[in-house]
Amino acid sequence: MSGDVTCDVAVVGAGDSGRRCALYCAEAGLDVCLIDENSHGTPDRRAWLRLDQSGTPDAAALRRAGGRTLFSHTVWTALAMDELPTGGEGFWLSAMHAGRDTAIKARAVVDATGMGVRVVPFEGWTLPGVFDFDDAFGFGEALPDGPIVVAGAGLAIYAAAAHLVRAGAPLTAVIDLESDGVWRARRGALRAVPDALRMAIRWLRTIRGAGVEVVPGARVRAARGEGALEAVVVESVDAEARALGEPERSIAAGSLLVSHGFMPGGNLAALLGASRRYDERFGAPILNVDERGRTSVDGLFAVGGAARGHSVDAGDAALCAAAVAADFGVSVDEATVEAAMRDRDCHAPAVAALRDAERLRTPLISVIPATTTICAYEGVTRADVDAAVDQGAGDVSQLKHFTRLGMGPCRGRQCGEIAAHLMAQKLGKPRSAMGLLTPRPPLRAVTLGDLVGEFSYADIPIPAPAPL
Amino acid sequence: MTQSHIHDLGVVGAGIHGATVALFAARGGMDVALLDRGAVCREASGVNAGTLTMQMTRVALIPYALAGHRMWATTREWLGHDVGVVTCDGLSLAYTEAEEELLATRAALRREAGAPIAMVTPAEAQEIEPGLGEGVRAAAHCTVDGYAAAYLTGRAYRVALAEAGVAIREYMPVSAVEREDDGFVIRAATGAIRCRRLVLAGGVWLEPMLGWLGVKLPIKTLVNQLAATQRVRPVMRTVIGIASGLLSLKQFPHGSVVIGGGWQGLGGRTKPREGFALLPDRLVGNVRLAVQAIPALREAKLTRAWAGLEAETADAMPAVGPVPGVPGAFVCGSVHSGYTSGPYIAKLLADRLLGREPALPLFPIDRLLPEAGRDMAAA
Ligand SMILES: Cc1cc2nc3c(=O)[nH]c(=O)nc-3n(C[C@H](O)[C@H](O)[C@H](O)COP(=O)(O)OP(=O)(O)OC[C@H]3O[C@@H](n4cnc5c(N)ncnc54)[C@H](O)[C@@H]3O)c2cc1C
Repeated sequence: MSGDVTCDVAVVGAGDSGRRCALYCAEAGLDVCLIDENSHGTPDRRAWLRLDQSGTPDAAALRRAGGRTLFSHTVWTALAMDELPTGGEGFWLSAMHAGRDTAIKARAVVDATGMGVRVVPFEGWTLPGVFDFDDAFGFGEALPDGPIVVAGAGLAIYAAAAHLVRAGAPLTAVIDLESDGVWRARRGALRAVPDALRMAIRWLRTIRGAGVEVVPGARVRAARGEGALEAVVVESVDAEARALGEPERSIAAGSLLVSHGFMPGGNLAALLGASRRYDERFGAPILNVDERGRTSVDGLFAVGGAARGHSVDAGDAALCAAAVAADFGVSVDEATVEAAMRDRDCHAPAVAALRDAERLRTPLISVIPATTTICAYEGVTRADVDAAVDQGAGDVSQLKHFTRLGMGPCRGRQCGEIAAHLMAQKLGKPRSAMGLLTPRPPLRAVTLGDLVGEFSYADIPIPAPAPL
Repeated sequence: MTQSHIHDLGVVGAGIHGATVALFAARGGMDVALLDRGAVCREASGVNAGTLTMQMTRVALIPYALAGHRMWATTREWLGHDVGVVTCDGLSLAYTEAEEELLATRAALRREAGAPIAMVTPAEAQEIEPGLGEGVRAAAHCTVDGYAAAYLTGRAYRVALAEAGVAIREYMPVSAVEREDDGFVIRAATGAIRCRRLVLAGGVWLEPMLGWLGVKLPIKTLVNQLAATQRVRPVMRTVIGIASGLLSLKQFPHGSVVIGGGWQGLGGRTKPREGFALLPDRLVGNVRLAVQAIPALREAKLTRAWAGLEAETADAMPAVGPVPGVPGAFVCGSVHSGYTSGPYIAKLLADRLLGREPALPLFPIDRLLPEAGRDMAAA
């Protein structure tokens, strides 16, 4: 198999971490390709969420350092060359570009594909008008219908709210699972990343300045409406998101934007065989990586959100680039590496605080009503999950077979985790005993027409017929 | 359950073969334990394409496959639970002169063996399947065809097995079987199970399983790739294949289209790690055949691709019958297109265990063993 593009290092994902890592690898003299599904110039999908204001290197900087960019390239599958009967080194990435399948061969791969957004289902969350953050901000400049309510957990809800206010959107309320007191207690930790604290304060001022109501220590119990969202029902909760039993209130809403935090990604690395585990801190699976981003597979690395959830500094990328370079026999300046390590250590309390704000509050899962949908694409409800467990489904893969949950385009990245917790709660076992869904291609849905291109029948390399 | 409890029958491997033997043996009055290192029907029997077709079945197995098809079409009656079976017409297509010849020969032999297959013209094929694209030179039409939602197999069987009183032991990887005076001890890290008679139904793992009893039966591992699309509007209504057997294609009632045909991925029972990786260019080749047959599929999106492991003996015929030289031990598996005929063939073995004469012959493995093995069997 020969590639259309060959390079030393393929960095997949041109967010902050990916760009930095690619730049540092290029500066170390490696032949780097930075790959992203977005076209050149499209702003980062989650730019509004950026805490770190030190700036991200742009594509031009990478090119000046001798790196290449492959934008508008959607990596849909990948293979470790040593899987081939012929053997071989490195990795094979298949990327869809302008309706054509492009092969990229790289000796090393860095998974920089970022994080996934989490929404814990609640009554009515599949109504039109309810969006997760990626849905809400993924489609260019169009703003959601007002009045808008933003709800969930973590600093991201304030980032999203401030973003909406700045864009002139009719935002009415922000519903935060966390109480004021807890946020105040976290200020010390956040100070470890002064930029982050400044940003958070700026977001809050923007929101308050626009007269938007902030409701701390509360959750959305239900989204209601005839055919589309009309109102959001809110109730007060304790630190673990258990209802306090106080009277609930209803807020009129045209759109509800929800995020219960972000989960580490790493799907590309997982597809290439990197090992993962369930991580309590995230309430989600995470890649097993060392402190420099080395996965369990030689030559395969992960950086940023894909490797460790939130990262707020350049240190991660510098360390990962140093590890990649070391594999190629290039030594990087030890002082830089040490500085990166120090940075990371000193930022650690802030990162932990951010993660803690987004932690998975399992009581939110226990109270999901029986009729509420868990897997929206396949229409699987909580009652369906419970019934499957009663019939003997003992792990998430078996649940998938029993119910089709996770067979849709999201591949269970969202619903699979919720379902795993539901199963664990019902069986009285730890979440980790429910297993992980097996990563399978495609990483992104691809159209069959693009996949096959133009061809004639004679070109199809049909193997020999099966025996009769 | 105490250590000393002795089951009438221990079945190792809960795929379609093991699960069916266990089910009918239990219904016939035996005290049965069914063990699997994972969950019921989650290897080949849960991840296969679910095609219930005669047009990919080996000629010698047609009578078994027809009986299997009848069983699948009536799961509610004998299994008691639904596996999403749809019965419909099937078409096998030829696009080249060579394929046309192959198709005519194979269709004739399968018809002789009892499959209701007739050659039809491209125009007739178009009437049977309006979704067909251009280039068809000839087609073979079978009125007995269809498909199941294979992923539901485990759910349906698990409930049925429990109802029949089978002791289901999932997540119990067996590491050895030892012979005792009056039976066997099945050993796993988490415990041991004793039984008077034993059925090994390990799919591609039959080779190491028979090794526990000192019998060497080479089993080749096929790594069959599959792909599924997101839900699309109805684009086809039959099961479609091609003369060489390298395409199987159908659209499920919920709209998803599954593309298979046995294009080989990488991996296997042991090397380099157990499991598989998909070869992108073979996936593309397989999808090209699908798009050639049903052009509307161009607009569909690929949503999942996976593979499963299928067993094959040296003569590509089943291994179903007594283990030579080991009284009380039986083997059941390695059936080509084994999902279709599996329930029937395994039921035949259950009949044998229950002391009834099977309606059709089994497939003893003596033919596959070296001379020494046969002598042992004769002794
Ligand atoms: C991708 C694919 C597509 C296919 N498509 C079709 C089709 O469309 N139509 C058709 O008719 N056939 C099809 N087949 C063939 C069919 O699926 C198989 O022939 C059939 O499912 C085999 O069943 P089995 O019970 O012999 O094996 P399996 O289902 O593989 O069961 C073997 C069991 O043994 C267990 N086991 C292994 N080792 C141990 C151990 N040490 N201890 C305990 N348990 C153990 C395994 O966990 C497994 O559950 C397909 C096969 C594949 C792989």
